[in-house]
Amino acid sequence: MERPDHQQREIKLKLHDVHKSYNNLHALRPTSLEVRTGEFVTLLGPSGSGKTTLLSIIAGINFPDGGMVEIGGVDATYLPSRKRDIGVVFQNYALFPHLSVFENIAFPLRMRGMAATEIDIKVRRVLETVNLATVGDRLPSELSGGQQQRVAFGRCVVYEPSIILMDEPLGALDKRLRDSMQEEIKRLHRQLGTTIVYITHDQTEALTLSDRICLMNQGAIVQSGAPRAMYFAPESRFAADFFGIANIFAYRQTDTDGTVEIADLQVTGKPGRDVAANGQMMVRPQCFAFADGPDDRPSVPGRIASLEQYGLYSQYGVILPSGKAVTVQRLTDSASSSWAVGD
Amino acid sequence: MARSPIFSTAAAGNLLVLPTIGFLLVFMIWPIGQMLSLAFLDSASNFTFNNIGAALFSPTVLRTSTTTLSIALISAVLCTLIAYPIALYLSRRTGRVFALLMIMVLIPFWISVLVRTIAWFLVFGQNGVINGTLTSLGLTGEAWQMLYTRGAVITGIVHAIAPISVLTILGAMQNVDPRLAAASASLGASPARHFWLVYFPLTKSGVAASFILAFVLSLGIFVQPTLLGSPRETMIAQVIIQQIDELFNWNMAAAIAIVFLVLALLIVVIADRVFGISLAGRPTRQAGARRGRLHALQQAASRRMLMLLATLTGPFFGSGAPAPPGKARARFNATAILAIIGLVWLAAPALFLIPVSVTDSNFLEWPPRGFSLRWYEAYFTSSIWIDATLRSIIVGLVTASVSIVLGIPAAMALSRGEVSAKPIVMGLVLLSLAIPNILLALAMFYVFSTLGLVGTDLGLVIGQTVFAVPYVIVAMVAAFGNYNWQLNTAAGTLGAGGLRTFWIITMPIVRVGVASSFVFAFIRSFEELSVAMFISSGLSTTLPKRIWSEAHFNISPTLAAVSTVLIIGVTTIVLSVEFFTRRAKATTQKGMSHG
Repeated sequence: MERPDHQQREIKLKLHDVHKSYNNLHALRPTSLEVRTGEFVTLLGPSGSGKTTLLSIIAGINFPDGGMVEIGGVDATYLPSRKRDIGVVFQNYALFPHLSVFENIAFPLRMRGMAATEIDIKVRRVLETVNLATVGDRLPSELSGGQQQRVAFGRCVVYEPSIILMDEPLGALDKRLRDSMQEEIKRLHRQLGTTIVYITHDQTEALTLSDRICLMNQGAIVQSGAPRAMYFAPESRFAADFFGIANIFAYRQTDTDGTVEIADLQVTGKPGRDVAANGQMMVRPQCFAFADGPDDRPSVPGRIASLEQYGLYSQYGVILPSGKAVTVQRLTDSASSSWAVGD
Repeated sequence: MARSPIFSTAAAGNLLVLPTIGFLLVFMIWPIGQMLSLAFLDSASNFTFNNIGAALFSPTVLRTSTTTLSIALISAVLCTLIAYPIALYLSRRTGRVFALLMIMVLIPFWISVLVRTIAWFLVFGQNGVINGTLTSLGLTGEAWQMLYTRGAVITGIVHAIAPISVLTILGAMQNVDPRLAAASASLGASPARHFWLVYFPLTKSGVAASFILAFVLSLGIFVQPTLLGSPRETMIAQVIIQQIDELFNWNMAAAIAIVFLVLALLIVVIADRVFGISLAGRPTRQAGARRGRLHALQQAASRRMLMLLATLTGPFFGSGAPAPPGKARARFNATAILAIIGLVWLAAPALFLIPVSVTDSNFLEWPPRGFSLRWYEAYFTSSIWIDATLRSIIVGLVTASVSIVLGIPAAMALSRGEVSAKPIVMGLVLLSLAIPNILLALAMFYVFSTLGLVGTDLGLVIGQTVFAVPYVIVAMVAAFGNYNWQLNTAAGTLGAGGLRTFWIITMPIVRVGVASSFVFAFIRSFEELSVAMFISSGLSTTLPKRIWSEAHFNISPTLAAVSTVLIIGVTTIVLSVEFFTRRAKATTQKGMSHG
């Protein structure tokens, strides 16, 4: 499916230099961010990186020490949550335990004083959308984790807020359920075209769902971009490591036309983008190939020091002639069994 | 730029506890301060130490202080000894059995101390349950003198306080990880050794708390020594009441109160030092402190003593080996037997009042003679009794409502943890629970008389609210303990304002807690005697004061009838609260099993 071109759309959410400290601890350093209508932006980072602080400032659960929050072109910095036209899906869903699924979803509409008949129509439509039409009169505690998650999402979309904020919404689910819920969220995002700001510490989830990822660390956004760019072109060691195993090599510019040499791999070439004269570059483990025989690609001899079978792929620890250790992954197939420790 | 919020969340939290703090400052702290300052004034309001000196060297004060302290110490030890096996037995039960046992502790707890003291009067009397039974069995010729002895007073006090000890110790036991027993067994400890070397040390804080609480509560007691004791058992609270009631000497009363409070405090502090127990129930040993040889010796000695206890009591604990197939494991062990005896002892005395209330005799005697409802008739047709009952009900309802209105916002703020004033509130709550009721009542009497509140129902409500608010706060903090405050945040993001969220989200979820707080605040007020004794005037008395005056004069079968009405009323209330709480829990649990 073709992704909508967000660059053409209006800016829905604009953060300008918002920051927040608790007892002299910078929970969030001055941060700016723009999110366009319909965009799916993920705030990704380890715990304590400031992503939840940022989300709570956007939601109006917390207020920044300084800076500005604009929602739909209106200054909302110190507006209470209920006046912001936002929706939040909480990590543990925060479903009202004494209200039925139907009443949970109807809640925001009742708060807005909508007529009963209209509420009925809207809630039923949302129940259909999130595949919960048959459990409307159950209590939240009578539902499975995945169903509860969908109620939380339904409660959010029913009043069509201009932005939906999701705080690790899949964190409480097991892996299998998480995968299917990711599909569901993607489908709902496409279907409803809502603007979503999503929080997670799971890089796979971020890569799967997002139009754009903002990687956060120590209270600041360290890099933001499309998932593919984030994965293959990290701008820092932290970013490289966060998205998976990274083999880092030092390189040196050898020619004025931009040719660089990586001593460990004994290769020279031109990088695909402009880089500093000297520095480090990264190769993902699955981008190495084993030289099974004569190959036209440059190859480098190495010794396999360790081998772990992960099912779908196998992971090798390889020692290069320079003494550098690298990690290499390849799909597990019949051919791979011929490689063993010591080769 | 949008305007910044006027209140931070912390300020909002403080705003919620402000009414409670203000109320307790004005109606508790101020009166206490006023009364205590009286100790340092002479009759012409000049500063003097003469009262304190007189109190210190008065032979009466010295004698009653000694009596009070020895009675309180013995009572505290007995309370803890009786409560421990009950609490231990309770801590090992779950579900329906636990609920039933808990009710057996709670009903005596909520039945008025007055009623329970009258019950002991019946049990110990010349023609009472014990003597009557022995005589009718032909075992004794003459009646055994039990009433008006120190034993009777201590029995009454222990019976009044033991339920509180059970709840205190049970609290500590419920914090012990049940898997430790299996761990001990796997490491080679017999059940007896596990108990003495692992379990008992872990519950020691509860034992200490129970002991100190029972001791402090015993100090302020006056009902039991008045009704069950002789002049030799006169306790300090009676002397203070006498100074005011009969001698109108406020300055002397205040001086005695101060001397006595300081003495009691000293004993608590010394006990804390000597036994290394902590008031707050947390471990006393600070990191790094108390290391060294002496401490090592102490530890070795205490370990050896516990080992010895384990050896001595080993047979009572069994081997811990599983029963051989075909033979059921013994259902009753030492704990169960002690606990059941304790529970029966808690429940039984009040039950004797019921048959006596329908006696045809003119006296409180056992076994009851004939059958007659005339004592109930005497109660229900007497405008004095009915007026007192109605006044107690109305004052109780108003007190409970005011307490809820003050207590819920405070409990909310405390459990959300957004209050910088938390230590102040907790201090006030603890003070009101620990200070002898009679002292607080006297202090209020002194201040209220200058405000024209004595003899008014408003004065009664205010006075009893001072006692009821801390209960509501403690109960509601517990009720909010399981509440997920993120629901309020969620409601905010979905468009609900603070007040609306409170009414349609928070209140419905904690409604059972609110209802039980209300009910217990009501019972607390309905049965309150100290405030009623001084604040309500002759014509407009409450039921407990009416019972107290009557009991002073003559303990008649009418009192048995009134007591029976109260016992049935309280039992019904406790059972229905339990029923509704269980039903609410069952609904959630049923839901959870699906999830």
